Amino acid sequence: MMNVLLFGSLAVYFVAIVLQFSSSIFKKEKLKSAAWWVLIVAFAFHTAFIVVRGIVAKRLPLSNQFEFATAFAWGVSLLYIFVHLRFKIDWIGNFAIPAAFLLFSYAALVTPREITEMMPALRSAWFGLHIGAAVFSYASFAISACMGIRYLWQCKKGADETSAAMKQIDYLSYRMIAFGFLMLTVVILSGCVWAEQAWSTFWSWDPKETWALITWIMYAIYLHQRLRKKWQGKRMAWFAVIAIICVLFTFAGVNLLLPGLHSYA
Amino acid sequence: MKILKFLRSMTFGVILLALIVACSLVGSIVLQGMETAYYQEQYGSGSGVILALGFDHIFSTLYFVILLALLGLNLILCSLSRFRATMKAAKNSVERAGRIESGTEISGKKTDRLEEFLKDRHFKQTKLDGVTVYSKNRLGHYGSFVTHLSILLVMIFAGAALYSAVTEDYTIVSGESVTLEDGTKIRINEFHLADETGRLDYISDITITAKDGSEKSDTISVNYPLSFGGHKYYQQSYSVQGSMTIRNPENGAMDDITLDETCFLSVTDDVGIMYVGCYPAYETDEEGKVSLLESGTYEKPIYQIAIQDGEDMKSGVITPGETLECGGIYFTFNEPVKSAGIRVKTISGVLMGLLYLAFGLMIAGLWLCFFHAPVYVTVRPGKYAVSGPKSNVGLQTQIDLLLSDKEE
Repeated sequence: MMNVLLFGSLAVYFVAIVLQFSSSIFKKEKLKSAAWWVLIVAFAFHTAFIVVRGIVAKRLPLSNQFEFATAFAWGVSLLYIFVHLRFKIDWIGNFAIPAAFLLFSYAALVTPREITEMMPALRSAWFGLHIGAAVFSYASFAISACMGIRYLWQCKKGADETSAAMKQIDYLSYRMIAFGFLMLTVVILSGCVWAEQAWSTFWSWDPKETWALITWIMYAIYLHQRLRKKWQGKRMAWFAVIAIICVLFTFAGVNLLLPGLHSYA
Repeated sequence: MKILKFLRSMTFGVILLALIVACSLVGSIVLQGMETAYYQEQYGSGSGVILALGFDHIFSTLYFVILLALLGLNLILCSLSRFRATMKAAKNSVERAGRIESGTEISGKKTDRLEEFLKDRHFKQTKLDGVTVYSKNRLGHYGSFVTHLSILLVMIFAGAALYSAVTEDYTIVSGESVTLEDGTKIRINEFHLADETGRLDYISDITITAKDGSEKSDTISVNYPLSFGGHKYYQQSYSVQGSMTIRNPENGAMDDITLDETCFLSVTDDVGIMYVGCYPAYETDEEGKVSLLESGTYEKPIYQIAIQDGEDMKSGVITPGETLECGGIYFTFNEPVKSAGIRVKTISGVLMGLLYLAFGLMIAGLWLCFFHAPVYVTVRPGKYAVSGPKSNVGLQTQIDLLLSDKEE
């Protein structure tokens, strides 16, 4: 059942990507609409997979790399749907759907999928808030990077940076980063409170903590630099794209290369 | 004055943040707090540079502490210099919005629609001289100030908490107790490696007798420490040791010993028992071959031993309750002894309360900054203008849609 939902969802995401790109190439409204509805189906499957896994595991399915990557991909899809509905923009699908598909594929094909018992250190009331906020934080940064790519792509095609459309991309990217930054702050601070309960110290310079702080500072720099006029537009788009590398390293790289207290994550 | 201006500037703050990132990168790549020999082996000739620059303990080096102190100074100066301006901006914001002359032209019908839209969205209406200013989220003016102040407070309280906390670790065998320097007594009534459902957990039934004689019995486990009598007690680790009773029937001598590492229990020079280790569980296959399991809750413990009799040595396993005779001495293997690793932390509760308050303030500050940004819509006959300290593309888009001909 779970495998059907997992691989079924991946397959539907793939169809959504094909339709989305086809709609961009052939400029057909029907294809665009089809891509949107197929994406909604993929998201429904994806959500069902997470819910079923949570029921089977009898806990929040967020306790290892597979589950987090799955939730991360789900968060990207959810935010894409939100942005699409709220701001009536569909181009974001060209970047967000492949991003969700790649993250979900990484989870399904690279990380171990077995349901394991939650280790004692993770059995805490802080678990849901800490990891849940991380899902939304990382997903927001991923969407902002998608918007950054779009901005740079449009610049390359000669778009006028002072146009309303370009200003909207720049603004939405900033809003996504602002939301992600707030969520990352919740991740770090709730992690501090939790670590004090579990390990007696709220900060121990563990690699995951350190990289979360590095990511937080990177985006703090972004938010400050944005206040300078000359840093708006293209430079900020580059920043949003480059900073996602930092997020991805915090998410997966640290676990693979820098073992520490969060090695199970 | 120029120096002061630089010290409180955003440029200086960003430079400091970038340097903190650089230090953090080094600190996450170079393993911290290892012996000199480790760095020499790992980095060869480069270890000299690592050790000389303190990369082996970068987060406690003087230059890192100075960086944090300078960031604190930057935050103080920047907050102080902006406080008055922030107060003034918040106080006069509506009047300032009322003075905006420029704007987008709209017809009377559209003005009505705009004003209705703003009222629906709970904008506060202020009528000035021939102008109406609609305002919202005025508290948001303080967002940046509150955020910077909270970061400063977090740095101060976190630093104080990290440096003032006193922690000590104790290994206490089930049924035994230790007494702290201040007279507080900790007794581990029992240590469990599983919860009531049989799930792996680390749980100590603990009794604390405070220095004033008051007593508290409770259960502590990972994530659920106990605060009592000025200390906080954490379930930090555990250990399991082998246990054995040795009896010499000839003279009636008897002794109980615990074993935590491989050792040879000699009867004579070349006769005795080699204790290899104690395992949490074992499995027996169809042929009766026993496999030892490295992890588990010690529900089915087993000892690995070897018996030496002269040059003859036989390896085997033995379960608790069994007795071996070797050279006329009887070795009875008992249930393994479980010990709880308890961490005792002493820290001011007020300090931790202040730290958590600063955490809350930071979240509130960021929310005010990004999601409660002040916005003003100035409506005068035939014109309207959207203003505020932050970009209002979202509201502007909504108004554009509202007033577009398509909508009409």
